Amino acid sequence: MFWFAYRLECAMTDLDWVPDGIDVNVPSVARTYDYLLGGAHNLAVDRRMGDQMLCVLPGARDLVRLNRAFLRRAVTHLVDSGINQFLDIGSGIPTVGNVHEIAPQANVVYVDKDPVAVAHSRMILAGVERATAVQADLREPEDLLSRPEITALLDFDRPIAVLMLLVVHFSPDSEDPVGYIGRYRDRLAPGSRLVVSHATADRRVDTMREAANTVRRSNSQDNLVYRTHAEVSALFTGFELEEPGVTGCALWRPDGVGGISDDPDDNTQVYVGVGRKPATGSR
Amino acid sequence: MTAALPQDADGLRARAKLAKKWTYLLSSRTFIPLSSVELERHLLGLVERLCAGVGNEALAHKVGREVGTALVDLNCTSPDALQCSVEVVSKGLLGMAGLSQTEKLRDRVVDVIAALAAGFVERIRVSTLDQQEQLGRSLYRAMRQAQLDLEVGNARYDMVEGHTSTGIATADLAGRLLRTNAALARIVDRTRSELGGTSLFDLVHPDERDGLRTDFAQLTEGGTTSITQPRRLLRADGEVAWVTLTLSPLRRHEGGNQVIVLAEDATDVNLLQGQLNHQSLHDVLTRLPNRQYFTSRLEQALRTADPATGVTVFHLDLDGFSLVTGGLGRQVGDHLLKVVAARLQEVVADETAMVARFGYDEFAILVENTGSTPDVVTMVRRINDRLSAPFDTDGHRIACSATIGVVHRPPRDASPHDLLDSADLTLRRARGNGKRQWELADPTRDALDRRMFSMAATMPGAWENGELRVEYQPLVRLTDERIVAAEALLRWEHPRLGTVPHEQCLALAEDTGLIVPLGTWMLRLACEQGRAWRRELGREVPVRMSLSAGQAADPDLVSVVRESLADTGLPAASLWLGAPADLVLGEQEPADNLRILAESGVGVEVDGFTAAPAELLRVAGFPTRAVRMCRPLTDQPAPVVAQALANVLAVVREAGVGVSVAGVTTRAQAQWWREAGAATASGPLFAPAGPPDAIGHAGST
Repeated sequence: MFWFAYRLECAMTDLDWVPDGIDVNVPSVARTYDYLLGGAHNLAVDRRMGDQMLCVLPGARDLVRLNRAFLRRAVTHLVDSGINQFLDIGSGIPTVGNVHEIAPQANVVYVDKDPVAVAHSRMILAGVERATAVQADLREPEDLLSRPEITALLDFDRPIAVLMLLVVHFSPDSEDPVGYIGRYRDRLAPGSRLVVSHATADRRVDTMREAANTVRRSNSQDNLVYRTHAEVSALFTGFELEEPGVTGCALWRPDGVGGISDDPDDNTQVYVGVGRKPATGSR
Repeated sequence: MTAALPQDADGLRARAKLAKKWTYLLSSRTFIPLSSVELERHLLGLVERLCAGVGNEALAHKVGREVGTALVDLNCTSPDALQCSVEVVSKGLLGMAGLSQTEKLRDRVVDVIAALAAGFVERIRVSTLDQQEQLGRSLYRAMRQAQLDLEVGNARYDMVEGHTSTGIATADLAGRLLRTNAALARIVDRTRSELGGTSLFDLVHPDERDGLRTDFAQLTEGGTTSITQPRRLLRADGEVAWVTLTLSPLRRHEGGNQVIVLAEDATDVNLLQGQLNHQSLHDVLTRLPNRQYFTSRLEQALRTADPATGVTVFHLDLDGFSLVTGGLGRQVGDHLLKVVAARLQEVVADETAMVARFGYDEFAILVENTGSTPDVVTMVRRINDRLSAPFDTDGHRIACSATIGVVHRPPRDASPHDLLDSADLTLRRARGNGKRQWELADPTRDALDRRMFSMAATMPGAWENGELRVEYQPLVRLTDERIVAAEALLRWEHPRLGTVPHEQCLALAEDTGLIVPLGTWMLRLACEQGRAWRRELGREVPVRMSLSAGQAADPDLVSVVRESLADTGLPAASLWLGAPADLVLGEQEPADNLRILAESGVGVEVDGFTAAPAELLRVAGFPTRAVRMCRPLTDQPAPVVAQALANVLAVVREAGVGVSVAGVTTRAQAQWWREAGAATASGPLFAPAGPPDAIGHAGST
């Protein structure tokens, strides 16, 4: 998912009631992300939102690309480490380079709270036995982890990689992201991994402040919360960070030009990290 | 597939270089889900194809289209990606070492690139349309799913709304009811159409309108999720319905916010609770308060009663109630209990009093005394006078009486439970005296009784723990004070109360029924000991044991004695068994038991012999070994009595029955009894009870 969303002033529809994410007059984070990645699973409102973001942050396309490249490197690394179960929370609309494509031998569950993203994922995944999609909310781990689709496909007695890419930064501190991530951790077997990517304003403070102000002015539901290096590191409480720790997105085990931007600031606009749940004493 | 390419190393190197450069440019402009190495290999393939297209005019168009398509499939869909691809590929092909000899090279390259652009556009168009269609279907599915969820949710809501006993309504922010359910209509005794458009404020009791208004204001301001309050609603029949009213805001995107109203009927709950409350505190049959209720009332009365007059508790037990139910049936018994309940209430009708039923046939009365309350004797008389008036039931004419324990003016700080215990103990004492008795509580006797009860209760455990043991007291011949037998006695080394003597042990064991197993155990020990002395001392030292009434009446007594004798090898004549005079000399089972034992050689003695004429006659007709004088007679009797006693004992001796005396403490007593003709005696004067070896030592001297 992209890291900020606008809720544009929307015209009345002829429907009495439309759940979040289905109203075609309201942009969707998932579809905007798809637009910035070059996909066409988006509507005019999504593209308008994407274009507005590009005005504020001209490097937005690059950031999306770097995040997607990080996903590929991280999943490849985890597969090499013996992980074959993935829970991708905030997966959005699966365009290209999805987890089940990077790790075809693994069992994969995609989770998003956007019903369109989930419906779309299910369509894409029709006929793929090892992967499914579930509509649930990151912030409610007990509900999410008890979904039968998840427990049927993932074995919680064995290590699972939980991916939270560009999603935790929609949670203000009042939602206690360290707390709910801890509740995921408690349910995971030792050796499980937590993969996080998270927007930061540690560099380019002015630009990011301007971006945040733009979001604030726009009635957005999903406000962006930038976190510092220390704050992002705290999300890994109870996990042991794998090398090289929490770093700029492009600097995490780079393997080629595709994962790097020409603009050095872009390379650190998003913090990423991979943590491993140790065998004992995770609390 | 295509024309042969120059396989020279230079050409290969040049193509690889182009692929590398292309990879770099694309990677930094668009997301391609491949590692650099993979992408470079992929693009090298495309470069090879393009070179082939340039080298072969017939292939140019086809190859160009294929490469354009492949680029889109690699997700190189941005204008940037196309622009940089055209640029890098065109320049690369034009300067490619292996192609420099190609005829009309520029035209060929233009052909290939033009086809690439066309293929790219076509693929983009198809891909975009595909994706848009997919998106449309996703939107449709999500919408349909949402509608299905909504329908299920609505159906579920309708189901709940229609069938719950909770009143449910939707109101606008002014309190006007927009939608109501049947339960709400029932609670307020109106029809749903009457309710439509009515304001909730008109439905609540006028006293509660301000409170409700405050609740609504809170909901409108937001922040509150829901408010629950007990409220009174006005029913159409003028009654008040107690409800628990819950108000929750229903925030809507359009059309203004509303309030969901839940009304749980608390009237029924209140009624039911009252009923349960009554049942838990009252006896169902007589509708009198039960013990629990009585106790709490007593606790209160003790605190609040006038200290000058205090309270009085009467604990009643109907005499012979089980005979009524057993003989006339339970229905008559139930009727009797109801009559008693009513009569007891009549007796105390002028007093501040509570009559309660405690159990089966037990009642209690608490009277908070005043200056005009009759005294205890008068009250007891009134109770039994009133109960004894006969009444007709089921064709029978019956009356009853009660035995009563009375606790009069207990101290204010007495605990109600202790007080009721005391009343119960008093009642038991009164019952010990027969029917229609009454007794006043006596704290000293209470303590004694209570100690006895607790001792009796702990005795079986004490026996198991080895706190009970058997001791032996020598029986001496009065002429020379030589030991002729030994009496087995029980001792209880009580950890708190010290040594409990034989008589009390026996009484306690008798109370609890422990006497039978305990007596059997004791008998066997005594027989074993008698056998041991026989072996150790080389002469017979018979063992004597007093049987309690319970032991003497035990149907198994004869077989138990015979087994003990057989198992230990003690001759029957070496066992002397004493039993209470009224039993030995009676005509019931105990007498039969003892007669059989006597006939088999066991020495049977009469305990507590009073020398009454009736006893004399019986003793003469029974195979008695000896009589043991009643304890109070041990003290040297007055001269007149002494003379009479001496005459009687002469008769006894002539009948061949020995005379024995126990509890001798002085020389004078010993001398008097020797002269009166007693053969044997025991008591502290000769030797106290002690362990078995004391007999052995004494006997050897």
